[in-house]
Amino acid sequence: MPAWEFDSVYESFSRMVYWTAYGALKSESDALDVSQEVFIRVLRHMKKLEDMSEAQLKSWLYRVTVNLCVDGKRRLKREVLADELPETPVSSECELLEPAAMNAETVRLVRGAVDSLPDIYRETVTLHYFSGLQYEEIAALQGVSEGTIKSRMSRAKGRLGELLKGGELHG
Amino acid sequence: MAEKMDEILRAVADRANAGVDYAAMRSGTLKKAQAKELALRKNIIRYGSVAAAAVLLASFGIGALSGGFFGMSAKSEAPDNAYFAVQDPAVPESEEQLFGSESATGGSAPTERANGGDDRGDAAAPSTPAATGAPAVEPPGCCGLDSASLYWAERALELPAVSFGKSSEVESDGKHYLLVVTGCTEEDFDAYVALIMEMYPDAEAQDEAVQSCCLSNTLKIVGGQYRVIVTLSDGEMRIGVRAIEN
Repeated sequence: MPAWEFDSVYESFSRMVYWTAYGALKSESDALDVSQEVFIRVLRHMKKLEDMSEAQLKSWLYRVTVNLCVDGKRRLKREVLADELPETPVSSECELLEPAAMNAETVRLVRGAVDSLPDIYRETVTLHYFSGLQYEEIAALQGVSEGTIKSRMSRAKGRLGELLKGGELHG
Repeated sequence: MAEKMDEILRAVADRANAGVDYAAMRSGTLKKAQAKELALRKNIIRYGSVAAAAVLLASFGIGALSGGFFGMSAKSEAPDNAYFAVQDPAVPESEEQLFGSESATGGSAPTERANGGDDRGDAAAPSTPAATGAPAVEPPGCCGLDSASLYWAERALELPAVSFGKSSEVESDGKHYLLVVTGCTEEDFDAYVALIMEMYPDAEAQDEAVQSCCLSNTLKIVGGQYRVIVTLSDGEMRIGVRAIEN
């Protein structure tokens, strides 16, 4: 990878930074503020960052983002450890709405369900689906094994299935 | 099934991403960065001019105290301080001034003659405070941390230099190294972690609990041989290193 420039960093990682912040703060405006602060720091430290590998830069951005979220709210705590959430089977196909048929209200409900997940699961779901990161990338960022991420994702989906089944999302 | 949930989440994420204006976020970032830089420049001008005035006043005061203005004897009144010693023209700064140069005396300096010293070695010696006779004085306010890298002597391990903070304390033995720096900001913290990652490209982030009381980063470096923990709490940054024993 050639030396990073601000535009290439922004292009490559703005989505990850924004959704990492959103996953931690559950607020679009706060996530926007934190994302902008992260990229201001990118501008400030560009000389130090330009020769980093993609993995190093990604890790740096993730840590800066999480740290800013922690500092901003002073409340980001891992609420529930992975083992505390029981494995729940995902709802059967007939109980969930067709993705193509989703309207704005449905999207709002699903996002509400994601937001209501415990931090550790919400962050994993957000990083995978909203930021577009692969399991191995999330594992590297969070310093855990890929198996742990898969396990968290499975539990998160089970929990989401329960939440959505209890709501109005089943058809 | 899980596949259905997967599809739903992807569809929701796509919609959510479409609703985020990344271009506006980018331009907002640049505007904020510009505003911060302007504010910083204003502060530099404002406080810089105050600092410059203070330096001028201090120099003026030093000049007055050293006798120039009061007709005092510079030699007798000069305090025992390196700044006064080197700035006072009446007091010789170096052996060369004290004893005269080789060209002036037509031979070796008295000390060389007395010691039977090596002319080449002495001529090539750098003009260090020790060489010039002036005691070494640390620059104020930077606790001597502005240039050299941190070095854990017992393990011959190097860490990036600390160029921030007001004061520092270091302790180390064969098992651990700890530097505590006060007067640090979050930016110092982020920058220092980035510097470690820069110095050790193989640095591996460890799983950790995010603490609400402080910022904390844990990294394994040198192929997992050392664990570096950097924390920031109430302006105090602690840079700790431990050897990982297998």
